[in-house]
Amino acid sequence: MIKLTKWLMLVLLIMSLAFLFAGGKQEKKDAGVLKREMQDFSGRHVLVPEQPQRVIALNASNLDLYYAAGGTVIGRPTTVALSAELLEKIKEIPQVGETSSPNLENLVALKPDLVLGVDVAFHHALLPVLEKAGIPILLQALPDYPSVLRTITSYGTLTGNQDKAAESVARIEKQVQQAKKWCEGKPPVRVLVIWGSPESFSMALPTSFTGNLVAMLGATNISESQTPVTAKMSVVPLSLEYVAKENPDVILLITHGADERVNEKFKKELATHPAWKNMGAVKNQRVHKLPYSLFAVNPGTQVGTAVELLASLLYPEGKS
Amino acid sequence: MKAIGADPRSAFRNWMVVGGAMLLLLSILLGISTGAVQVGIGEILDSLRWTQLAGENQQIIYNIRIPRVMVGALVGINLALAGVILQGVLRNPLADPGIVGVTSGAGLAAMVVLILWPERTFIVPVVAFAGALAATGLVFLLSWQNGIHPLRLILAGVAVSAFFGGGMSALMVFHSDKVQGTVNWLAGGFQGRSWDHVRMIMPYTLLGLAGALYGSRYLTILNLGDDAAKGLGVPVERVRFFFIILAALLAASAVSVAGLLGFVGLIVPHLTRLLVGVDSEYMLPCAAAFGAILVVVADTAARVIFRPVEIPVGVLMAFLGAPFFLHLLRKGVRHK
Repeated sequence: MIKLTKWLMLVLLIMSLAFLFAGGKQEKKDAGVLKREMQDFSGRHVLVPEQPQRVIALNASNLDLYYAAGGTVIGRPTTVALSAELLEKIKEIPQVGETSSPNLENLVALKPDLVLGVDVAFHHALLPVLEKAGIPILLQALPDYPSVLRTITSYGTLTGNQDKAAESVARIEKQVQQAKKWCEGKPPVRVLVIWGSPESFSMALPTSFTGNLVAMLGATNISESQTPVTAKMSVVPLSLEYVAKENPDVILLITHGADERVNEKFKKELATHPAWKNMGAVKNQRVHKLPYSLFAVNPGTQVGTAVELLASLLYPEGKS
Repeated sequence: MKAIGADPRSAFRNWMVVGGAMLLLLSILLGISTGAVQVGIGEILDSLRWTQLAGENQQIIYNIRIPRVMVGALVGINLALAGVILQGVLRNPLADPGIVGVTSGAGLAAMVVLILWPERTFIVPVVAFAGALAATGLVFLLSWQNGIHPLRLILAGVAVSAFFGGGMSALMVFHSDKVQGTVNWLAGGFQGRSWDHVRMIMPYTLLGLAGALYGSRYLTILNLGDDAAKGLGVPVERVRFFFIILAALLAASAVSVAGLLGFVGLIVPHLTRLLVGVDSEYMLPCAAAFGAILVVVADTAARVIFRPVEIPVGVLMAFLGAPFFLHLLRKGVRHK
């Protein structure tokens, strides 16, 4: 019996060694059609087709931005975090799974010539396989407002529909200009942006997306003076003492889910907790829950609408 | 063959070893032949021969599915062996690879990369491996006192795990917006695993199998207790040291390519013990086979049940394995 086991193992070892060597072979893809070199957000230089015909988007904002640049995709993420209009358009397009774990087999089977992903670990994890398959992937991130416009413009060059992209950018810029004008000349308000779930609240720093929008409108983010431990942080845990000392004029709440219960729980806590109760923002009823679709996930092409909404909350009509 | 006084269960156990190997082969074939995309058997065979027509199906089979199944099987083998060894050496039924600090060390190291430098995700296996070994080294240093005492090792392991766990929690709190990127890794899974990962883990699996083959006698004797083992002429301290290092290497290599897959290392040894008894000569190969089978089957199911959406394999493994384990535990396995 022991001999048999040893034999079995020997056979297994030889087999696995054979596999090891076989795995060393790599397919040489013809790079002739890959003409354009693009740098994605993670700093990789990627050769992409001049005008990709079969694009797959792995997340909602990339899909949204690519359509805003006049493109279409052949594969899409399993998500509903898109505008109703866009959802209707992409209804028939095959799904490739959740953004956080796209199905590689489906992905490759669709024969894409470009994949649009996010600069997050779970998409970096796809690189080894996609590179072997000769499929280029651009990993994007949208940490602030300018990056949204930049991405639309660069997608415009890919779709070959620069006019459509420019039109989308112009539409957003117009909205933002109007919002900025609305805020101009009014005394700056002090804002606290809270990012949280019912059990834990964090404070959004100016480096967060919403923090960036708030700063664009000339408001003061009370977290400004907080020094983050690393430059990559965009939220810090909320310190009630700090907030009480800073006494913000407006409190904005972003929740992880579209769940209304969080809002209620939060409002209740503000109304009953002695420290919150006496804050200017709570007394003057200037505590607002920001809509999930515009602020919890990246608003993408809706960023203009998000900025307009922020402007109206920070500087409501009649208050100067 | 039949010696006088041969264990009456030996026939049954021999069958378990052979059956385990067959089942493993079957589950690997199943894993390769099923997936989110249907590929015919003919094309699967073609892709193995690496013909010139390198189509998508070839990509799917050769560069996605086979490496993934292989990594799953190897991870299953490593975790199961590590579990058997640790439970045997420490004589503690709750010992799993986490106990020597492997899980927390790898977890913290991987998380630092995943959160702070997501663009460097490709170095995660190396970093996680280093983190796992660093944590194990720390546990060793803390528990060393004229040799390794099991209880001290376990307590040092708990302390080190708590320390590294604290680091992980701190990262999660201060980067709560980026936690999403780490969840997959923390849950453990095989998505996007390629031949590189197979190559990374293979040497340790070979080492582990060889070590298990060589050391199985000692492991059985260690089970009798330190005094009895010493009486039988086993250099207890040295053997224990060797085994713990081996287990740490096995677990660290598994965790570095698969993420934090718990469960296999804890449950498979018990499952094997219920089926074949405590004789390490049988237990080690059987546990290796069962571990690989469990991971490969669970990962296959995770890929296809809700295709194209994938379920984290750790979740599925717990759902498949825990009830089966409880069933065995309640029923018991009777040997004639």
